[in-house]
Amino acid sequence: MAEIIVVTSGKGGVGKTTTSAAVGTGLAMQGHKTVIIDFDVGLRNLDLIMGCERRVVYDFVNVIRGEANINQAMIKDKRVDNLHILPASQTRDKDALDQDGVQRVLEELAKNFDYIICDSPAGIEKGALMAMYYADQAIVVTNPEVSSVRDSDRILGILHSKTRRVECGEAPIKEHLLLTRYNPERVEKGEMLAIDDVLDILAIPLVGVIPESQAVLNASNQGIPVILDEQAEAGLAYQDAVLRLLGQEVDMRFVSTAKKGIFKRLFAGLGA
Amino acid sequence: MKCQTVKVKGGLLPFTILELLDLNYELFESELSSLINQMPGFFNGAPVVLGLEKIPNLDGFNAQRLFDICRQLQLKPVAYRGQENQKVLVEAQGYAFLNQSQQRRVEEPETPQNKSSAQTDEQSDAQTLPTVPEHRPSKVITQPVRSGQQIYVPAGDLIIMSNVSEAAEVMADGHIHIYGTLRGRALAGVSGDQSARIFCQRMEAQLISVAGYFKLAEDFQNSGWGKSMQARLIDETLLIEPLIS
Repeated sequence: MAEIIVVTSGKGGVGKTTTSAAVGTGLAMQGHKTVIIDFDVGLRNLDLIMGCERRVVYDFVNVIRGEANINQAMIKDKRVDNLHILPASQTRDKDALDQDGVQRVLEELAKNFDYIICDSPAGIEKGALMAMYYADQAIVVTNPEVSSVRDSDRILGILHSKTRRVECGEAPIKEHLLLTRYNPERVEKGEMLAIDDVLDILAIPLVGVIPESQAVLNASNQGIPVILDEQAEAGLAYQDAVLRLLGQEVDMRFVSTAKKGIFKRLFAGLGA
Repeated sequence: MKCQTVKVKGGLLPFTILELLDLNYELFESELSSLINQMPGFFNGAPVVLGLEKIPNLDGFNAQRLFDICRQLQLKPVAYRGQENQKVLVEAQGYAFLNQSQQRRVEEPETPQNKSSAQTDEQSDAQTLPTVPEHRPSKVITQPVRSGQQIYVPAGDLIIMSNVSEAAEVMADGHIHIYGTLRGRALAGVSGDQSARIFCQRMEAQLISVAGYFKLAEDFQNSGWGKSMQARLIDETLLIEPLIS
């Protein structure tokens, strides 16, 4: 039986799709059969981040409506084995999603995959509710600033009240906090919330801290999940987060200015 | 006779009353469902009494169906309430019926004039022997109360063993205890009990209110912010002071 993981945040632009792409790719690299589903119907982005926008023929909504079967709509990643993408429809809106249809597609995928990553749209409306409803685990993506933290707090409340596991009285969804765009220097200057401040408010386990990095933007523009960039701190931090998601204990990296200083000096020495 | 297993007691048990305005089962189900979605914390598994007094004509009344709808929505319906002439019909279908006038008499001891709890107990003992246990239901919450969530405990205390986030709202007719950080709003004594208090381990509240008297964060953030504090009402003034002085 597949494990369904929703990547959600409430607030937009914090890195949900980047995280879905990176974590999905990372799980596949660890040998797990993984599919990433874009739930952002009408605002399709995952295909761009994954670099497969020219290969989209059918989409998630076509499958829900029986206009195509799953294998026609899924796109196999060319870089990583075991990885598939199910793109959203760009021409429809969130009303095209219905609970029974989503359930049918997830059940079908669960037969063949180990992990199903649901890339949630922003907001707390239908698209986001559909993306989280069947989840077993949730990655809550948060930036270290107050509005993002409050929106994540709201999403955690909804994960506790409007999901299948709650309605069926099963064990609650396993929640993970992923802090993105973390900049230790700005934290030190008091311009950003520190990790502990965020943990104090959200009170869920931390699965990773992704440093703010130009490499993320570059990777998105090129359609390569940043986790494949072994040179980038952000890519390495996502690799660590995937290992933690799989239950391994890995020390947090790139979270203090001291280490950053050493890196900088190293790079400076190398003339980079 | 002295019994070992049973003791007859009277008492007051507050219920949420769902007053029906029309006997349209489908509409009732969908409207109730959206009400619950708006205030999940408030309804969360709450026992409810269904009020029929606004429905003069009970043609086609199906007691079982209304109870089933409530149960599907995770409520716990316990009885119907209505006018004397509706009693026969409801009881004929095998459901408990509370007379509305009788209900009002039970409510009377709750008024502020005779608020002493001992007195209330005695009075209700005398008046309404066959009713329910005397314990006032408190609610214990062990999960964080998240931004946007609302919790209300009618006629009881609210105990929260975790944080109350910014833009969350916790309310009780009685006291509120918070064993984490209070960052949202806390309103005690919302039905007017001026003796209600708010206790919290770490005070960073947006708003504190007792019996309708309130203070905003900007009114008290210079004293006791981030410390263990309590709020109580003295002579119509809301005091926010250290938990242990």
